[in-house]
Amino acid sequence: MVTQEHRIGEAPIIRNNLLLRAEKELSKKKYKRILEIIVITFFALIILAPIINIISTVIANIGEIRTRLFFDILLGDSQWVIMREALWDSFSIAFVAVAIDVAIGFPIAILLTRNEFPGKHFIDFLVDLPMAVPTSALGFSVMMFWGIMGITPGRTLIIFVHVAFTYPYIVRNLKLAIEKVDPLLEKAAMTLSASKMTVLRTISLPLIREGLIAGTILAFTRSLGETGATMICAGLVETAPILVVGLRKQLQLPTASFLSLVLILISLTLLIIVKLIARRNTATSKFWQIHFEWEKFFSKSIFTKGTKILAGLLMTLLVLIPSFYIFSEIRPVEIGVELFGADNKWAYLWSAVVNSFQIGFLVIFIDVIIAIPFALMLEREKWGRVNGILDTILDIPLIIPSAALGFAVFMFWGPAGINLAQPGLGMIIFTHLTFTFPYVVRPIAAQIKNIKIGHEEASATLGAAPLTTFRRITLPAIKNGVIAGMIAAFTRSLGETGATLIVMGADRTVPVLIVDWVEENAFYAAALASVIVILISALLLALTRVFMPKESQRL
Amino acid sequence: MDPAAITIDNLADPVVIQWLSEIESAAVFYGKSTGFLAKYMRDRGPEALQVAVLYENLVQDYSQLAEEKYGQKIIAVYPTEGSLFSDHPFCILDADWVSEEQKMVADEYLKFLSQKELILKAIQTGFRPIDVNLLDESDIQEVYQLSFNMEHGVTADPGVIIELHPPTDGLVIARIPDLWLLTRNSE
Repeated sequence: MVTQEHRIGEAPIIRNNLLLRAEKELSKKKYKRILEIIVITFFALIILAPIINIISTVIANIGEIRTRLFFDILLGDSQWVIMREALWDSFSIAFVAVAIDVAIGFPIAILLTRNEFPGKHFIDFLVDLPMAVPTSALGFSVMMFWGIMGITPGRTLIIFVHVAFTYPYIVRNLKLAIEKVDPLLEKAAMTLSASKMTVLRTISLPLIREGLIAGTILAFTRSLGETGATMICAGLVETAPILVVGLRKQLQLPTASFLSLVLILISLTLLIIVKLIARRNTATSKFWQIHFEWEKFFSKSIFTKGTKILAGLLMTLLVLIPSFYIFSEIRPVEIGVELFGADNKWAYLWSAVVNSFQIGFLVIFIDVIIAIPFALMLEREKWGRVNGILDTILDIPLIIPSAALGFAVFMFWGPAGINLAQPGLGMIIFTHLTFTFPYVVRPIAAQIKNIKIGHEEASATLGAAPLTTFRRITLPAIKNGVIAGMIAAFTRSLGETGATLIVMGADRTVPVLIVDWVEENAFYAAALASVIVILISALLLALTRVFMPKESQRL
Repeated sequence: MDPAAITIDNLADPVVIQWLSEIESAAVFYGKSTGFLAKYMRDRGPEALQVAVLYENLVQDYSQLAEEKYGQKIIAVYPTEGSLFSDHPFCILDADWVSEEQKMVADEYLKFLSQKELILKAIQTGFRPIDVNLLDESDIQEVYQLSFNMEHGVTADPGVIIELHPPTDGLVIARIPDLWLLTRNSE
């Protein structure tokens, strides 16, 4: 009996010993090198290769592009004029949308960081929600809301929808920046008789400038690259990402490559500006005159409170109500008629939900496997400038318009490139891997930064192999970052429209299905699909807020 | 003009572009699909939209519904210049990139579509048989008469419909949508 008990107890010990030996073996330098090579190769293939390929495609086809854009037998230079107008529309719409965002986002960011009031956390959650919701669902909701006010698809409606989904980027970044400002500095200025406006200009603004500019540029690039909501709200207006989708559909691949490259270069320039600003010392401004009379006047309570109330009302009118108006358009009888009609929309909806989830889960699974070693390399390896370069490249997919990124992936992995994937679910997965990877790496990297190195060193001095230390110490410590990254990436994958439109085959994801249904006027079915993805996104956002480390909340 | 003789130069002809511009100038708005336009006609009535280019089956689907709502049917008009036939003919390409298996599957599919049961169903749904000889069969004729009549806004007389033959040069066909870039309204 005793012998048998011993045998039963021995099994886990033997398994554990085997595991420890395997970990010791795999901790050897040669395996670490192999892992590094795999991770860097994945990173290069998924993020860098499609972009480099687009550059080479444009160079290789420059003659054809030139003819098509400027000297076409049928169009003359009309295609170039259309492209220029599309770029101008994209820029002007992004500029106006972000200006509105800043105007109504600044007072709200102050309200959410410096004031306590009932329901604050719920409002904070609602402000963030449009960022997580698939933009096609948001666009449809915004279109329905402003439609009852008589605003039809066109530039004005595009601006309204862009305000709704870029607003959280401004508020979120500003909130993080304001939280870092020591209130004592502001109070000290006030004790020296500075008015609230003077404090804002001379103390607060210089300190939060970095967050404001970063948020502004992120919101700007997000607006510049948005496709799904814009397609629903555009009417006859063609923004640059919509034009990329159109050119891809017409198989004008060199011309689409050219426009994608233009968008990629613009986005990269903006990314470099953000990075440069982040490194600058912002507290060097000199003020020739400190106290202005008009500042004193506008610092009166009636103006400061009035500004917050006005911003709150505008936020409710421009962001919150339009974003969730679609819930009031749920009509069970009409939805039943549309969903279970001759074309069996219910089956398409179900299939699209399954596709979206399959893609999302597979993408985050691959992302996490690569992102954990990548984040460790980023934070722990002392590779000098290489770390900085990897860190910058990692942000590229976040800032490039998804239609351009999708097109770059299509050209690299598809029949026109190395021909490893055909348009369809496989290529959608490649595309989603590209832009979700940074969402997984960032929170993990933030958690790694916070790990007390002493715990790992203690483990090592007690004879644990690096891989054992990783399993026992590091992994549990970064668990929340991993979960937060997975949820953020899943949410992003679930909501993506522009890139998916470029690389999809016959199968649909939910956001694309919403665009299809709006285009065919099946509004009730589209409303149901929108509500489903908004609810899923709300749940995922709530989970993200639980797990996301504070340091990685920017972006 | 012989469709086979149409070239890209013909498309670039200012007279052709002017002709298309005149048609475009009468557009009230652009819809994204014919289904959208038909539904719009049904939902908003003749005050909102009077003429649209539609598939015949859409006219049948919405004609009576429009009459119930606005007292006017949606009626198909068949241009004397000809009507474009959609999804016809069914082709199995004899190209080197089409495998034997694909040809076999396409052939099976054609056999499936050619079953009488399917033909009757297609006619009931509003798809006109191209082969008029099919109408000699009494059961097909009976279903045809029930589906294709002025009550549903479409003609029962196949002789009224003249087939418009598109250009045969693939490059010309590919460039036709580009004409729209020259004439469309973007405001």
